[in-house]
Amino acid sequence: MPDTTTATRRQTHAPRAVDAHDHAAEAAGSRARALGTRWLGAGLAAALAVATLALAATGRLTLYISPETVWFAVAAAIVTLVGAVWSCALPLGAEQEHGHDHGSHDHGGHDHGHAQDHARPSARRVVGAVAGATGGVIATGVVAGALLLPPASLSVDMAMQRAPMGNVLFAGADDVALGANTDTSTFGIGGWASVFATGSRPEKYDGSSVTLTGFLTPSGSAKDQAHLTRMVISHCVLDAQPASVPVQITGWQGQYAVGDWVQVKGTVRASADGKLSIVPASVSKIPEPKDPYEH
Amino acid sequence: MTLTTPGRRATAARDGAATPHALRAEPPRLTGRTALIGAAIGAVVIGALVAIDALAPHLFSARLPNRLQDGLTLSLSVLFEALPFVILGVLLSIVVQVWLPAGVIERVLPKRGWARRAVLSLLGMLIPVCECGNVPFARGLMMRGLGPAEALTFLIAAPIVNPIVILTTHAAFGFDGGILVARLVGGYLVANLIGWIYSRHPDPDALLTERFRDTCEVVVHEQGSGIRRSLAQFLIELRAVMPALIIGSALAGAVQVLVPRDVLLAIGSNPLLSVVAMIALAISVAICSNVDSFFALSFASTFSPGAIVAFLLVGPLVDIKMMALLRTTFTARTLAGIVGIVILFGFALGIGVNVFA
Repeated sequence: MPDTTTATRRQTHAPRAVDAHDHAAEAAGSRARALGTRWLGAGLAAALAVATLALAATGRLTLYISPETVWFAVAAAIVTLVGAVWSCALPLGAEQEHGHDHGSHDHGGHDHGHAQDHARPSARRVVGAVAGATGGVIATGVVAGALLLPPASLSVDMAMQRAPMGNVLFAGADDVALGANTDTSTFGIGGWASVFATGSRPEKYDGSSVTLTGFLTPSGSAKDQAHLTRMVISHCVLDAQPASVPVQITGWQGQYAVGDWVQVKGTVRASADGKLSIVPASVSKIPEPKDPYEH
Repeated sequence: MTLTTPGRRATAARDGAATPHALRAEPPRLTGRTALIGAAIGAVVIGALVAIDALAPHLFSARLPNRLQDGLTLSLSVLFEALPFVILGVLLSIVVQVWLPAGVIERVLPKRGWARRAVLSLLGMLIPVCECGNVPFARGLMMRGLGPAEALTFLIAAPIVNPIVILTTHAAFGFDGGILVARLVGGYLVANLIGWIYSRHPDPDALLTERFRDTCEVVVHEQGSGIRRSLAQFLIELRAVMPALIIGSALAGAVQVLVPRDVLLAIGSNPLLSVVAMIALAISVAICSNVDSFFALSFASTFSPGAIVAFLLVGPLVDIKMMALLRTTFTARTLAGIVGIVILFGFALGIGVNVFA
């Protein structure tokens, strides 16, 4: 991250470069550095903007961010691309030109102090340059991941790893869950998970019919009950939290594997001790939905 | 020091107009063939990126291991989320640095240091930028002569004292347990505390990285039309912010995959340890301030209210991604000081909420 260009820019001033060969090498070097600078700034931004637009065009941007902010991401990506193309009108390296240059006109050799200072790069500068270069490589690698690899949803492992803290409140769901005659027909797994965990009067929901889509995860060691799970995100995948509801399927592991996507149609039932679960009328295997998250 | 003087950088800016290089032979222009050729090359590069993005995924069908893939997905998610705000921040920094007439900032702001900082910490109410976008914006302000301590006050306050964050925090928590009030007042106070502490620094410019000081000098002496300077500022700011943003996001993604979250969450409702755990979670998870309250809401049933407040205060200010971004501009030493103050303040506030609320 820090201080690469300063370090490298200054080093080039140091030697009294007089013969043409050195000059040419120096010019090539500074050109490469200027290109690197462009790439690490506008280049990386443009690459991300391209990835954003491509994902949005194919309807897959919601794999990463909430549908509400897609328009904003798209607008900013377009601005980025316009800016990136337009800024190429500036000659390479122009953005780094010093006004009161130490660079372009000190070949005459007026400032000796300066030259000596920078002739031997200090250990700190070397470390800075190495850190900067490493940072640049990592940043390029991450962005390359966006361009080269197909987008993916979070793995089932991740949902299961986070499962222990499942059954919590999801965005805004607390109001509806506890209110009187709430309309539960629009509830996804997130909404139902909140109701199951916190609903003060489970009998109220007994008999509600539901159609839910999610993937199957184990419910402890129970043989006749699975969890129907879905990742719920409120803004971007970073805040994804698993939500799950218990579904009664006798001997489910004989028919399904952990992580299988299914659509469950059925009824909410309260057991004698007031625990809610879903008794399915039908469970059908489906491919992973285009938007694997609930928002 | 920063009380009334607009700072050394602004002075340099004003002198700059009159000093030697105005004599330079060719004032750079942006018209003509070279500019067109440059733009055409840019368009070709972007076309190549589009082609790569469209074709490459079909070439490698092998899947990454789950963990690595999850880490990448999480990192990219932060990036796609943050990029628009960064671009907005860069545009604002261009407006401030290039198009705002000289002296406007000085005229609008109060003269006294504490009053200036008090006003700057409310600037977030007007500027609709998330915390990542604040960094380029604050850099633009500093290039125009705002002191580092004043810019810091803005940077620390704005992610919390802003309308979107107030609305979403209210939507998530209402006025329960004083969480909303504690977050707002806490954010305002810690920003002014940090601003005050650093305003007493004998050499404010020493708070900034050498690289940023160099950039300031380059920028204030920039010649040419407004458009040219805007484009240069666009390039400079993206160069400064993009690598830091990407590395910060990658770290946030990696931490999520590598650090088991249940270890933190096992601590639960202990009034003291829960605050520590939520501060650790806030720093590692790096969620934008305008949505972190929904995330925090899912912990409300297991964690103490003080822990939630500490999470909501510390997260937007000094999470991993923000640290990487701030490091572009402030020295490691300054950054360590800021992080330390914010964490201690968040801890004290969290404990305070647990004891009194």
